[in-house]
Amino acid sequence: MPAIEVHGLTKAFRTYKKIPGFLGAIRGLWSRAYTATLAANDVCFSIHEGELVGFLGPNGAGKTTVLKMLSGLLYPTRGTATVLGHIPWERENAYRRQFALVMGQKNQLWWDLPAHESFELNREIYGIERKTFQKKLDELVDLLEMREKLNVMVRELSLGERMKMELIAALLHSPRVLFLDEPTIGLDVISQQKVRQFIREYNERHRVTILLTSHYMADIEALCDRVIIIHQGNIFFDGRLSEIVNRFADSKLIHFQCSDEPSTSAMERFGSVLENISGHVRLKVQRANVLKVCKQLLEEVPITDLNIEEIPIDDVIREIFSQQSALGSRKLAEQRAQSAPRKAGG
Amino acid sequence: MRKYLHVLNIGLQNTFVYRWNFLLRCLFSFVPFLGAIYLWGAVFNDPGKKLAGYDMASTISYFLALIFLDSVASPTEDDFQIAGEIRDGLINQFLLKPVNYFTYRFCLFWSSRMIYTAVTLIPIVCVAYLSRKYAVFPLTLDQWALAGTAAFLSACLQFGMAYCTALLAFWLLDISAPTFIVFSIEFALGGHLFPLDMMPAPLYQAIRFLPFYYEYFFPLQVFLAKASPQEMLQGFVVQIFWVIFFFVLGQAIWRAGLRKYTAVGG
Repeated sequence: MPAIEVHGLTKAFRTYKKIPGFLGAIRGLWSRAYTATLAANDVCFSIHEGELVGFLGPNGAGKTTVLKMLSGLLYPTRGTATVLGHIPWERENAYRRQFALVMGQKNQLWWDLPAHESFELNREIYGIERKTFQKKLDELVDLLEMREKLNVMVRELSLGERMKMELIAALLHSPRVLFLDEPTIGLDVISQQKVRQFIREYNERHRVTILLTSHYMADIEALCDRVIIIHQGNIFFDGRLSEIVNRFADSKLIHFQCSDEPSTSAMERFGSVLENISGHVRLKVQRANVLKVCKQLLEEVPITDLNIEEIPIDDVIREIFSQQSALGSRKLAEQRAQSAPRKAGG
Repeated sequence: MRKYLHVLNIGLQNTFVYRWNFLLRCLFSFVPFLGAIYLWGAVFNDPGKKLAGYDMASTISYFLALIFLDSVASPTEDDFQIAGEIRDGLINQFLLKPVNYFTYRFCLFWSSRMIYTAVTLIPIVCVAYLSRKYAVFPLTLDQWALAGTAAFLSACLQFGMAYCTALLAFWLLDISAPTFIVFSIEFALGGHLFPLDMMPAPLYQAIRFLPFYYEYFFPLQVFLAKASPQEMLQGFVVQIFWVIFFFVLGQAIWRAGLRKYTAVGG
C-alpha cells in the first residue's frame, strides 16, 4: 500500500479583488468582487513508503497548498487523500504522531530559549520515552553536527543552524512521513549541502517517506530520483528526473574549441549560437541533427576539442515553466473575457 | 497532563529571559496606585470623612488589593501573542501536533501570572506594612481561602475573555480595537476606576450580572471581607457561570475560526 495516495485533490481559494485607490477601498466595504483561484486542480499521485520525491514548481504553483492539505492544515474543495491510511484533515492524534511538516520560512522553536528546551517540550507533547528520546537526539545531533549549539538561544543561531534545529525538532518523534517545504531557502551553499546530505542519509537510514519542495534544482538533483512538477495547480509531469530531459529537451549542447576564431554568422548555420568567445563555441542543436552537425563541424572547422552535453535540467524546467505560463496567461485572458467576475456582498 | 506541566515550566523560563521588562512592569504597576492615593487623599481631605461608605483607610486597602489582584489574575500580553500566532500562521504547529492550543495557552498564562505575583509581592508587602494603619486585610484562614478562590476564578475568567477577544484574529487583521474596547469597559465596570458600590444602587445591581464585575470587584469584596455569606454564595455562582460561559464560547470561536483558517468549504 502506498504511504501517500492523492486523488483529484482540488483547492479553490476565493480572493477579494480590491478596486484601486481610496474610493475603491470604500466601495469594498459593502460590495466586493471575488475571483476563484485554483491553487490545486485535480492533483493525483501516489508515493510509496521510503520514497524521496521532489515537488517542483514556480512560486504560486500550488506546492505548499498540496503540502498543507496533506498535513491537515487545509481542507480540500474536492478530492481525497490518505497518508498512512489516515485522512489528513481529520487531524487524528494517531496521524499527528506519525508525520512532520517543516517549513523553511516558519520557526517552531522557542525563540528566546535554547533549542534543547523546545526539544524537551516536544518529548512531552509526543510522549517519547526518555531513553528513546536521548538516543534519537544523539543520532540527529551527531548527523547534523549541532551538539555544541544545543544550549545556545535560538535567536543567536545562524539561519543554517536554526534550520538544522528545526529538522531535529521535527524528527524527534520518528515520523514515518516527512513534508519539507523549502528546507534550504536562504541558506548559504555549504549549509544547503549539509542539509541536503542529512536528508539523504536520514531517508536511507530510516526509510522515511519524504516529499520535498524546493526552488533549488541542486536540491532536487541531489536528492530525488522522482519528481512531480506542478504548475498553476496542475500536475504536468510525474516521473524520473532523467526523463524530463529526454521528454522536454529537444536539443543538445555542443561545445568545441577551435584553433582560430570563427565568426558567429558562420556558426549559425549549424545551430543557434549560445556563446562564441576566443574560439570557444557553444551551440544548441536539435537532438536529431547532433551527429550530422558534429560530422560537418569536424570536417569544416579546425576543432581541437569537442563535447556533447544534455541541456542542464535547470534550464529545461525554466523553459517548460515559461512556456506554460505564456500558455496559462493566454488561457486565463480567454476565460476572463468569457465571464465577468462574480459579485458578492459583505 | 505532563506535557502541559512542561509548558508551564518553559513559560516560566521564557518570562525570566525578559527580566528587565517584567521588573519594570511590576514596579510601574504602582503608578496608578499612587495616583489613586493622591486623588482619594484630596477627596477625603479631613480624616473621618466618608463617601458612599468608604473612608481613606478602606479606599487605600481597596486599591492596594486591586494591584495585587491585577498581577495575580490579569493577562499581560496573552491576547496579542495569541492573535500574532494566528496571524503569522504559527498555530500551524499546534494543529500538526497532538496538543490542545487552549490548554497550552492557559498554562503559559499561569506561568507568567506566577512570576508577576512573586515579583509584585515584595513591594506590596512593603506598601501594606507602611500603610498598616489604614489597610484592612483578611484575618482568618477561611477568608484567605475564599479570597484565593475568587482570585483564581477571576484569573480564569480574565483569561477566557482575553482568549475569546484574541481569537477574533481569525477574521480581523488587527485585534487592538476590540481589545481596547473590552479593556475600557473592564476598567470602568470592573472597579478599576472607583469601587463599584459607590454607584447608584440600580446601576450597581445591574452591573452585578456582568462578567466585568467578577473580574475585579467581586474578588476584592471577598478579600476585604465586605461581602455577606449570601452575597458571596451568589457571587461565586455567577462567577463560575461566566468562567464556563467564556471557556465554552472560546471553544466555539476556535472551531469557527479554524473552519475559516483551514478553509472548510471555502
